[in-house]
Amino acid sequence: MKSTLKDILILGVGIVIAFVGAATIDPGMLFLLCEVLVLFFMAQMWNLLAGYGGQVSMGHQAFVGMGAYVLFVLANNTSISPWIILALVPFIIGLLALPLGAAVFRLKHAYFSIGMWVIAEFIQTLVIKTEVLGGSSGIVLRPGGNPLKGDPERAVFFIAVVACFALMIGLRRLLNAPIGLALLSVRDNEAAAESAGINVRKLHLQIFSLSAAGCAGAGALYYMTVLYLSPMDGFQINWVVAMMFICVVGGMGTLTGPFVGTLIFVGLRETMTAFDISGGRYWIVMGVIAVATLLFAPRGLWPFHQSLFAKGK
Amino acid sequence: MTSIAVFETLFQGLTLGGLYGLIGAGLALNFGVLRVVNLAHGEMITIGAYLGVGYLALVPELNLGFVLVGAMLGCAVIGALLQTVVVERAMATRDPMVAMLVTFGIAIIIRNLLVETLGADLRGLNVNGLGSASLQFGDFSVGVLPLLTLLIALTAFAGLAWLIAKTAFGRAVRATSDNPEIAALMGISSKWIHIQVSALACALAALAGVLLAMRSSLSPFSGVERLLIAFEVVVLGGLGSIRGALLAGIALGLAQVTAARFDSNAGMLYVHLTFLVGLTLRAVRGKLI
Repeated sequence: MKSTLKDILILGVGIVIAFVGAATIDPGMLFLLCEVLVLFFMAQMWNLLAGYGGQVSMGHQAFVGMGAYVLFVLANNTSISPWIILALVPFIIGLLALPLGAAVFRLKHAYFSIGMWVIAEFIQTLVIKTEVLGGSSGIVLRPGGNPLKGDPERAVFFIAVVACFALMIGLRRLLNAPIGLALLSVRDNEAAAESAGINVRKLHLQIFSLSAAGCAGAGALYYMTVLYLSPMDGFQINWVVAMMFICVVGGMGTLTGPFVGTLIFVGLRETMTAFDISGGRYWIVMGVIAVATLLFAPRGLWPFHQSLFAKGK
Repeated sequence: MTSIAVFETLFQGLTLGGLYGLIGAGLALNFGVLRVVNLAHGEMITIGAYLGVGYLALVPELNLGFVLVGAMLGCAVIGALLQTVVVERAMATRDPMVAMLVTFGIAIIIRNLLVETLGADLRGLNVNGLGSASLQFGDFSVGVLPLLTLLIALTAFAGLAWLIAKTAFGRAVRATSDNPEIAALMGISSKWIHIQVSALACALAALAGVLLAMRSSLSPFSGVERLLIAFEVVVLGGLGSIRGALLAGIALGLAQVTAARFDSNAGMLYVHLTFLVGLTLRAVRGKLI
């Protein structure tokens, strides 16, 4: 059990970093770092489904928004601590994703992608029209009717760092376990994997639910620092665009790719903002980078960089 | 509802549905031949409409025919260029997901280019006051624009069906769609067919785009909604069926117009609901794509 000991050590290091960071970094920087960690987490969950499962979802913003809404609505209307609800969110949305996945996986490949997109738009419109959920004007997080006490970004940062460390360890173990090998075999040759006795439908449902749960948890965590949630924000398509760009540019189907992708995605945005270029022009540049990566290094920049290195030897 | 209101609703649903059918037919044609779902189709619809706005800004008295043909030609050129320069290269990776993600990237670039150059605000498109003109039939008054729209949509559908079923070009398109390798052996240049089909799909998108913008309004963000409708038309109508696209378009158009009578701020809610119900029914019957 040498690897287990190593994992525990890594997680321990993560907890120390999280604690020191949460205690010392100033609030503005913490806020940015929280966003970076949340984006990385979401991109990694999207990557699990798209890069490893071969199922490209264009509707994952639905889970981000749903996770945040579950947190806000439960916290505002019950006396349960929002931090406990936060821990429950992934389980609630993960369970909800099972019947949804069973329906939408009837659509294959590209149809699945856009089918998810339609579902996300549908849920967004539904929330806009539901007065109990605040309608189009949204809701403010007021646990039990009172404003949230303390600096939530310190706790959120701590949770986000630990969650990202745990996610990387968990994903590495998952991919080395039988389910991970089954996943890769299905991605590479579905018919062959099925004839080898893998239940493709069940496998896809499992990672779909996992991916939904992860995005919901990350979404709830993010809106914990924002304290305000509206359907136009929580269900915006930019969430899935960010996940996709990060994975495509960094490298889909690798664990390091989304890390590289997140650095480029946020690094570029912050650099451009520093030069007073933001909004539409940022998305244009990011779009050009994504398209260029897909055309010239379709596996992403991290695997491309690795292949360059391998040739140099 | 009075019988006049019912008639009006049906008529509106029919005209809107005709346009929905057209954007779906373009997307289906593209997918049938290229095996790539073009996620920039919605942006092509938007560009077509903005081209119409541009022509009218240059020549305010331009009649509808010229606006439509001009928008179609402009969009066809853009579609052919994008196919040649970008999408064909992405298709060379032999991974349909890579090509789809490339078109998604293109869609984001185009959408934000439109926002940056033309502004994000909603605008209308009015050609020679056609939007308000109407014809009186006894108690019924029928808008000239919806009537023209319906005629144009049906003509476009008939033209498309003829083009695919009866001409040499249509034969080459069907052959490439059925079996690209054999089609290539028979001397058909698949790249050239891809470019022609992309241009045709974009021209159809522009045609519907101008008419949709005249009916409601236009913004750089209209594309998303219209892409999803096109997709729903394709799934419900069945791939490769031009008649199916028309019928599915009309079903969705009717759903939207009828729902708007009872619930004026429903937006696309009931259109998506119709699609999801249709999908579920098909799943229950076990007939799926």
